[in-house]
Amino acid sequence: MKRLRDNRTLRPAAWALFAAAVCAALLLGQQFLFALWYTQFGDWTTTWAFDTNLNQRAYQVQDYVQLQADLDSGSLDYVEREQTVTLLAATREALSPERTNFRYQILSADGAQVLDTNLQDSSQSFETQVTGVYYGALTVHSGQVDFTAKSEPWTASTTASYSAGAPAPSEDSQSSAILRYGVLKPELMAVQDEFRSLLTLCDGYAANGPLYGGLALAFLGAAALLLLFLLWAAGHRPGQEGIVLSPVDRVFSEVWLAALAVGTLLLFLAFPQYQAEAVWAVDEADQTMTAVLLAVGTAAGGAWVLLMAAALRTLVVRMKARALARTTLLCRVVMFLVRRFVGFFRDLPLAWKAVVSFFLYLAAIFACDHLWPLHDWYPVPGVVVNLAVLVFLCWWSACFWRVRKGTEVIAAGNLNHQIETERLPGDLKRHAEALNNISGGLTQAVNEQMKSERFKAELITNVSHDLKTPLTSIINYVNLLKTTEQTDPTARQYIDVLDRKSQRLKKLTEDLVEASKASTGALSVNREKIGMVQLLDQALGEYEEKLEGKHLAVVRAVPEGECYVYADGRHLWRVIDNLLSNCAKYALEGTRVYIEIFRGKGSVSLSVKNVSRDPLNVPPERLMERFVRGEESRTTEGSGLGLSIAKSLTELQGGTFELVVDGDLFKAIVTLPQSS
Amino acid sequence: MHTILICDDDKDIVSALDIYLTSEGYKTLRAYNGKEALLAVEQNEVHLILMDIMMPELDGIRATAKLREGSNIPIILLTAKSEDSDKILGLNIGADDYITKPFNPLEVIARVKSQLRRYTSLGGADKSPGLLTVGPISLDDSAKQVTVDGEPVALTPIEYNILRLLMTHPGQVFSSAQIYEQVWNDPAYGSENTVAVHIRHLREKIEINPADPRYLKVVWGLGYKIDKGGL
Repeated sequence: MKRLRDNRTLRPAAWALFAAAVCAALLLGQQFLFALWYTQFGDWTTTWAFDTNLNQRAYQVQDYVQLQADLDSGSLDYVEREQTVTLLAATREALSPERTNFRYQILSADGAQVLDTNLQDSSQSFETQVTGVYYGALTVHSGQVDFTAKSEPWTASTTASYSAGAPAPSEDSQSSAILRYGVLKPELMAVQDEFRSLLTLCDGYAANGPLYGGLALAFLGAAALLLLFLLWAAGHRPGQEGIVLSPVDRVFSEVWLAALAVGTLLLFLAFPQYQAEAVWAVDEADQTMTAVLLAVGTAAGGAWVLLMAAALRTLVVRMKARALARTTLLCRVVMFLVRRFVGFFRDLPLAWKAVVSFFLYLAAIFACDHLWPLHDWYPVPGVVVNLAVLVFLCWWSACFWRVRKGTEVIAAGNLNHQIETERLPGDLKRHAEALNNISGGLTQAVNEQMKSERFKAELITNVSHDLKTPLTSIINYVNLLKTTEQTDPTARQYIDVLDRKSQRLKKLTEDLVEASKASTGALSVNREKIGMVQLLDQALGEYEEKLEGKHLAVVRAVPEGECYVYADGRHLWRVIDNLLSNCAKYALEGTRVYIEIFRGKGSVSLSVKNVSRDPLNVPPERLMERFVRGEESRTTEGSGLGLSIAKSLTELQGGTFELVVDGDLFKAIVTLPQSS
Repeated sequence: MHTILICDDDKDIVSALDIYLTSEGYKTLRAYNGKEALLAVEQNEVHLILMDIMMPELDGIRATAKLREGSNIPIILLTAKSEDSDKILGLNIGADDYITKPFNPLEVIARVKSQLRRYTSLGGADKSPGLLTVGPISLDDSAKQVTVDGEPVALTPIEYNILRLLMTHPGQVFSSAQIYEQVWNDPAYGSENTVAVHIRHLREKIEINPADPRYLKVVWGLGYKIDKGGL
């Protein structure tokens, strides 16, 4: 089918065939019409052409009688006589039964006696052989023959009146006779003459009318099928997807409509004239005229049908391409106006929109109240308008609800959430899109930050790894130096400094890796049920000597029984390890360290309190930042990462880490979720 | 007289280790990447290998895997990577021990000695009925004596009893209270701290690096256990 549609030669051929079929249908249709009109006259003998031919023959008979009378009068000289004799012979020849189907009888004035006839078969009466019988009076008045045709046909009563001795047609005539004439009945016609031709023509009309009609219908059907194919194929171009509008299809539809209207109007105006002409032509058996009329009718009708088909085609193409409205001037004007109004309305501030909407509503209500024509049904339009307004308001509210829900989801932290902006009213849609953009921007920012944090952690791991290798050599060679015999006592001192600092560097690199891993969440966390008191005791066991060395007394306060938390034991140990090592490093010597475990609501907290040796001149938030220590001069052994690591590790386990500084009192509280 | 192969791409580290091990009376060989190490093992009789992980040509992990195809020479990995996953990988591939950089040379010597003793002498020791063994640690209950790599260790009675308790149930975690009740034969009553201190002393006596114990382990928040070695 597609190949058929895309065939380049098929379509022009189909158009040509269509035009041919239309022309044929029109030609045959007109013939059918002619036959129809002919049958309205009735018989062939009642046509104008028949009358005219008959009259001409009658006057020929008059001429014949006149010539005969001239010859009989004897007043002619020789030349005239010879001429008249020749003429008479010619006329008689023309009227002879071998030359014409016209038959006449010249009867005596009383009608009883046949004076002359060209009827061959005298055994039968004139009426039985001849059809369309007319008659007239032949009078001879001082050598001049006159013929007065009666305009009514000869009937049986006419014969009766004549045979009954009717008076002579004219008083002053010297002599008179009756001319009775007609044409042989069709079955008796033996000669080819004008009557025979007329009969053939008329018989043709009568006999072929239905055939023409049927053929016309058949051609019409063929044309319709071709048109269907053409409409189906219209708009498609071989090698091109979809519907292609040709220049003809881009012309405004109104142009086509106007052309069609003018064409149709002309056709309708011309048709009565055409019909009159055609009736005349048939009546007169004017075949030239009928040919001309057929040609004109076919041309005009064909042009109109083709115009119609072309209009239909372009309509179908436009509808296929969904371009009907676009290519119609009226639609475009209306759409332009509507768009201008919508654009104007859309750009109004929301408050003005409300005002305009309100006045539109008022106008609608006013129109319903005063312009509605059906008074019995006066509340109906008002109810409809109000219902529509209610539905609109409900819809708007539902959309607003959707946007609000989406906003709440985003606000709750789900930055990937996208509010559905399809089918939202314009203002809400813009609002929702703006919210989506914000959430998108935030997601991107968060992702970038995560990426940079991870990059930082990776960098720190790599750098510290690269630091470890040279550090290994330093530590090893310092150790070697220590084993060598040093004569200079200051050298020994220097080596001790190197030893201390290299150990500190080692600790620093280790803490650095741990801090960066903990803060970026790159550590694996295996949480299980852990005894907090047990862990504290284990930690205190590890630190006992260190704390005693600084003369720090531990005051331990734990509740009855074990406090189970849900945490990673090794990470939690690192937290407590850091806190206790902080005590050992920064607590004022000879003071007490208070360590307490207490149960909260669904959680267990551990607090470590000690008095700082140096004044804590930084706020607690700063203390938890990396590389920050209580005192700014970095002379002590810590890396400044301990609290930062402790905080990160606590948070990794789902707990909270809190610092309180009150004068020199330093307090750290680790809270972890309780294990059921 | 044992031969030790030192393999690291950092020549200074190799030299330093060379000095320490030579001063301890070991014969040393040097290699600067995994391929050289394999070659050295092929050409010489080597009793122990110290192997860095991150090396050009052939890294320590691959070299260890290659060596393990046909040899059970003790291999100690030297690694700058302190992540647990690296240690586990190294031990699974067939290394016997690991030391993280930056290391203490004394710890290296101790671990070398330990591995060599186990590799050379411990193989065919008679097993008396009262003998408990975990890794290099042996506890002879009849003689009330504890040896680590064959070296006798002096323990206090409490330390001895704690160690015996843990060694009779290797891998099992004992809480401080359980240990106290079993060793002191008293109900635990606020004295759990004592257990922790004793355990730490015990660890200092039997572990090469008490801060990174291989056998007597703290299970934080749960208790203590003796592990068969490794991590």
